[in-house]
Amino acid sequence: MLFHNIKYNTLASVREKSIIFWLMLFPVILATFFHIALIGVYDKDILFNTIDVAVVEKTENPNFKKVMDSLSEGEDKMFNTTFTDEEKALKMLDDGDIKGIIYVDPKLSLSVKADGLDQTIIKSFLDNYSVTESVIIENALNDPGSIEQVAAAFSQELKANEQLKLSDGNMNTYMTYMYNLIAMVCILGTTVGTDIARRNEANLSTLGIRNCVSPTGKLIKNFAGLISGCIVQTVCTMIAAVYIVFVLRDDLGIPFPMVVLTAVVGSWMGVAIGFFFGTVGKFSDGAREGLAIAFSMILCFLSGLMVGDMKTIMMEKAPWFNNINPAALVCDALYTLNVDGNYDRYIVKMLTMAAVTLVFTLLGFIMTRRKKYASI
Amino acid sequence: MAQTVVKIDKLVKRYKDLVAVDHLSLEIFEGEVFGLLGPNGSGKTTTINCLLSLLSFDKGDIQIFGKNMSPTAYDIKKDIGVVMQNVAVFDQLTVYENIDYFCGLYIKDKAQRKKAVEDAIAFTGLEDFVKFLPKKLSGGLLRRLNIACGIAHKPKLIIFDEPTVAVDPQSRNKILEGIIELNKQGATIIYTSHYMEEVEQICTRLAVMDKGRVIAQGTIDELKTNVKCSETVTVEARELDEQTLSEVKALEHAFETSYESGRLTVKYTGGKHNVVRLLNTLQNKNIHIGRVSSEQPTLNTVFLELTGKELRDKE
Repeated sequence: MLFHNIKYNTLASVREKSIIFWLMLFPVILATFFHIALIGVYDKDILFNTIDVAVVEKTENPNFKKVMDSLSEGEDKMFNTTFTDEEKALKMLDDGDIKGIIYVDPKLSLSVKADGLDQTIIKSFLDNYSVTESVIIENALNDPGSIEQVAAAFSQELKANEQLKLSDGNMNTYMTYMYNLIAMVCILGTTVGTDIARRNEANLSTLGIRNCVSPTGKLIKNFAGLISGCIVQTVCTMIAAVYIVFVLRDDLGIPFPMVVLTAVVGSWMGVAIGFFFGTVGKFSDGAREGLAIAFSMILCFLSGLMVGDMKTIMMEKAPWFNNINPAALVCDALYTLNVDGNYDRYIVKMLTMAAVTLVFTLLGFIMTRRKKYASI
Repeated sequence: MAQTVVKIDKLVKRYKDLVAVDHLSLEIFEGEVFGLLGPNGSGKTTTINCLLSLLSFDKGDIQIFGKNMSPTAYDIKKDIGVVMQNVAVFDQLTVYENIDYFCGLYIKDKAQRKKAVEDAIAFTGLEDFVKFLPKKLSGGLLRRLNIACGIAHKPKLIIFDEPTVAVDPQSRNKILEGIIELNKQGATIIYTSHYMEEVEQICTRLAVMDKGRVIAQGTIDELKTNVKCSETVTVEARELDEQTLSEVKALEHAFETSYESGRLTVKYTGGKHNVVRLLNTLQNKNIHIGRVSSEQPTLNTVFLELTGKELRDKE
C-alpha cells in the first residue's frame, strides 16, 4: 500500500508541469545565467591572465632581460614579452596587441594607453623590481658580505605575503551564488510539499475527497506523499548540482558527495515546509502554490540569491534569522564546507536543517490529524 | 425484508447560523437505487459528506452496514464507492494509472486489483483510452473515468453525487444505464440530483429535500399519489363564456380551473375519464376545440405542491 502510494505520487509529481519548470528547468536556466554573467566576469576581471607587453631596450640590462624571460615561460607565465624597437612597440600598443611598453633606459619606465588591472600589475611589477634591484645593487657595492642576508630578507618578505588557503576549496566569490542557487532549488521543494497536502486533504481538492473516503489511512497517504516528495525534490536538486559541476564545470570547491548530502537534507527541509504550508488556511490551489513559491523566493532573497550583500546585511541586522532561514542554512552549509576545512560548523548547519525538517513535518502531521472537516 | 444499508437518524449540520441539514432521517435498503432529489443548496451534498464522515455534524447518528460510520471506519469504507460531482483524478496520470491508483487504495492484492481495474475499464468503455491523460479526454469520457475510479473496487454501496452535471445527453444516458447495471450486479446506489427526470428514470425510492429537510420520501408512485393534483387537462378553446366556465368548475374532481389566451387548464384531485367529461361539456356548448393534453403529476408537481416553488430553476 505504501509503495503503491509512493509510486503514483512520484509519477504524478514528475509529470507536473510546474514542478518540471520551477524545479528542473528554472534552476538550470538560472545556473547558466550565473555562469555566463558572473563566472565570465570573474574569469575576465579577477582571475589572473597573462599580460602582453613589449620591452624597448634603449640600454641593455641583462638582469632585467633574464627576469622578463623567466616570467614569460611556463603554463602560468605572467607576461608575453616581445623585445622590439620603439616604433614597432608603439604600433603594437596602438593596435591593442600589448597592454604596455616597458622602456629600459636604463631606468625602467612604462607607457600605457589605458587604465586597467593589467596595466596596474605591470606598474607594480616594475616598481617592485626597481626597488629590489636597487637595494641588492647598493648592498653588493657597499657591503658585499651582506648580500646573502638581503636575499634572505626578500625571501621572508615574500613568504609573509604568501596566500594561505584554509582548505582545498575554491574561494571563488561567485560560487556563493551557485550555493544560493542550490539552496533555492531545495527551498522550492515547498511546491512539492504543498501538493502532498492538497492531494490528501478533503477540504483542499476533490482529489483529497476521493483519497479521504478510501480505507487507506491518512497517515500512510501523507507519509507516502512525503517520501515521494523527497525523492522528486532530491532528483531535482541533483539535476541542478550535476548541471553546475559536470556540465558548466564550475568548481563548487566541495567534494561532490558532500554537495549531494547537503542537497538531500535541504530538499527534505523544503518539502517539509511546503507540506506544513499546504495544511494551513483555506486558499485556492493556485494561491497556495503562489504563496509557496513567493515564500521560497523571499527566503532565497534574504539569503543573498538576488543581492549578494543581503547575507551580510541580514547577519548584521538579524543574525538569529540567518541561523534559521532554510535557504541560508543550505547555502551556509556548503559555504562552511568550502571555507572551514573542517566539519564543525557544517554539522551545526546540517543539524539545524534536520531540526527544521522535523518541526515542519510534525506540525504538518498535527494539522492533518483532524478526522473531519467543518466545511468542504 | 431487505437489509438496511444506510441509516441516518436526526442529522443536523450547521454552518454558523445556516442550518444546512435539519433533523434529517433516512433509511436505505440493500439493492435500492435511492434518490436524493432537491434544488441546488437543499443539503444533498452536505448530507452525503456527513454520511462519508468527511464533514463534522452537530447532531445525529449515521450507520452504514449496521455499524457506526467514522473517519477511521476502514472496514466500512472499503465497501463504499463514491463518484463526486467534480471529476477527481490525477491530471498527470493516464486513464489506467488513475484507476489503478484509486483501486489500489482498496485492494492490496496485485492480481485481484489488475482484474478489478480491467473490469472497470470494460464497464465504462474506456478500453481505447487507457494510455490517455485526462486532459485528452472529452467531457463524457472524463466522467466515465471519474466513475471508473469510484467503482473499480466493486463496492457494495455506491454514492453518485450529481454525476451528470454539465454532461451531454448521450453521455448522460450512458451514465444512467451504467448505474442501473451496477445496481443489477448487486450494488446499492445513492443518487443525488436536481434533475427529476433522471431520478424518475432510475430510482426505486427517493427522498425530496428542501432547505436541509426531507419533505417527502417513498417510491415515485407513492409520492405522486399523495399530491392533491392527480391530473392536469389542458384544452385549446376559443370564446368561453362565464356560464361554460362555471359548468367546468363544477365538474366532479376538478379543484382548480384557469382560462388564459384561449387555453383552458383544469386540475383534478382524482377520478377517471376526466378528459371525456370535460370535452363533452364543451361540445354541448358548441365550443370549437383545438389541441387537448392530459398530464400526470411529475416530481416537479410534487415539489411544487410541497414547497410552492419549482424544483429546478428555468434553464
